[in-house]
Amino acid sequence: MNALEIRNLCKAYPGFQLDNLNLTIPRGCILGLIGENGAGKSTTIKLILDLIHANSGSITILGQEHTRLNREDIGVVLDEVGIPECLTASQVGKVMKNTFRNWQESEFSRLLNDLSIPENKPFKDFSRGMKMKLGIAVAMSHSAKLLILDEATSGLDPVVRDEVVTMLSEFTRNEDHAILISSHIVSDLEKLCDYIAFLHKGRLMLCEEKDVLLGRYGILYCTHEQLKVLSPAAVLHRKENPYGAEVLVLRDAVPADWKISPVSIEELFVFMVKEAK
Amino acid sequence: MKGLILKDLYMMVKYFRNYLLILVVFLGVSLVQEDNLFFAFYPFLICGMIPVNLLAYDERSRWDIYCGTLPVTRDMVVSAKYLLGLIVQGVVFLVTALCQAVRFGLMETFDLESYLVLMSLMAMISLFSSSITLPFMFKLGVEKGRMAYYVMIFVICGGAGAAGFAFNEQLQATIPFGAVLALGVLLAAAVYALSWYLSIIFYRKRELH
Repeated sequence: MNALEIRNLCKAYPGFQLDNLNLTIPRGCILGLIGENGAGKSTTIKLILDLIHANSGSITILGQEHTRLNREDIGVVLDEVGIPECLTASQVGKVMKNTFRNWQESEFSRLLNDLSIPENKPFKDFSRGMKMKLGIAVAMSHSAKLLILDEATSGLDPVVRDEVVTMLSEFTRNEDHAILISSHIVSDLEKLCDYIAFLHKGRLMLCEEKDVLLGRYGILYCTHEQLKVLSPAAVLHRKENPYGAEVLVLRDAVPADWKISPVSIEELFVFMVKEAK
Repeated sequence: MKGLILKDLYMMVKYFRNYLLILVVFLGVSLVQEDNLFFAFYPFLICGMIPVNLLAYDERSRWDIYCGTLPVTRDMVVSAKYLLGLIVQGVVFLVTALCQAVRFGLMETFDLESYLVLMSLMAMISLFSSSITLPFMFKLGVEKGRMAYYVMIFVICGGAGAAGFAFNEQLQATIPFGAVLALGVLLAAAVYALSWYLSIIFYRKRELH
């Protein structure tokens, strides 16, 4: 049973359409949903969480239709977190204790301590990073099986981001657990994810295992003459300048003796979006 | 739902503690100003706005969306606000009723009929005050819903004036005033229940952006 299955999901707004989205997250895996601002990441997450209603398609979470989901099983961190401004972390803990049946008070206290979150400071006085950390602490304190994080790492300083990435990686050591994380900061997801999905203007450009992507594509720095003899099937995108060309290529379609540099997920995403434009 | 009400109580303590002072002042004035019912009724009107204002704070902090991801149904979200409204208005009603009973008791003759009239009117106002606003807010959001509140104040004031005019002496002779008041209280309770039901229906369908 997969942690999340999305089939033929469509949602239309004036000026935007999420078009026939298909995604699968196996258990034990982390899927990074990458897209520019307005690509449809938050719309996808709101559809998964049944905050908005799809025009068509189906969503299955942990084997259940998403509208019938037991929300004890999912932990969510949204872009703006959503905790009332006047509440302190300690009060949030008490509210959640009376909300989640599986609330683990000791785990929440441990996370507050580990993430250096002050217990008695109002939420409105937290920095963005601190707000995100409190959201993550709540999401990880009720034995959730699936974490859904919408831009949860944006606004975090590099040290905290590293701590969060470590926490999330530890979370998926349990093979029953899975994470869907969206971000427009691709480098955040590159470290963390097993699967990468690119969303552009409401359409899924690709969804693949990260290692497969990195093994399949590369960057070729070549002369204009070399570019002319390269098979068109090998070229996904090219950037030419007076001195040569930078080409995103399919490694298998390039002559074996040509030197191909590894491509980062961020470069791959930028190349693909430019190609799509 | 316990968590939702606890969250609202924390917010009430933070944002509405000044209401307690207003309540005490208005209650005090209403006890000495026998002819002016405004001071007796006003606390119900402002306390009726507490669930509405809490919704506004929820929207501002995006709690309404976050709450949609927690293990609470939308019916519970609506019901928490209505229950909180009943609790707050219930406490204000009890305190006011007690103070007015003391005031009436200190009079030479305890006028039970006048006391019951006052209590009935207070019960009606407390139930009406948030009944009309909340369904609009759950359907349209806070800003548009707030407009509905002002319309409601206008309707209540106009309705009370019209009722007073219509209930002339000739009519008073045929219909007992007590029956009209009892009917009014029942009507207010029915409107509150209908409002609760409509809010649930509206909120179930609303998209949380």
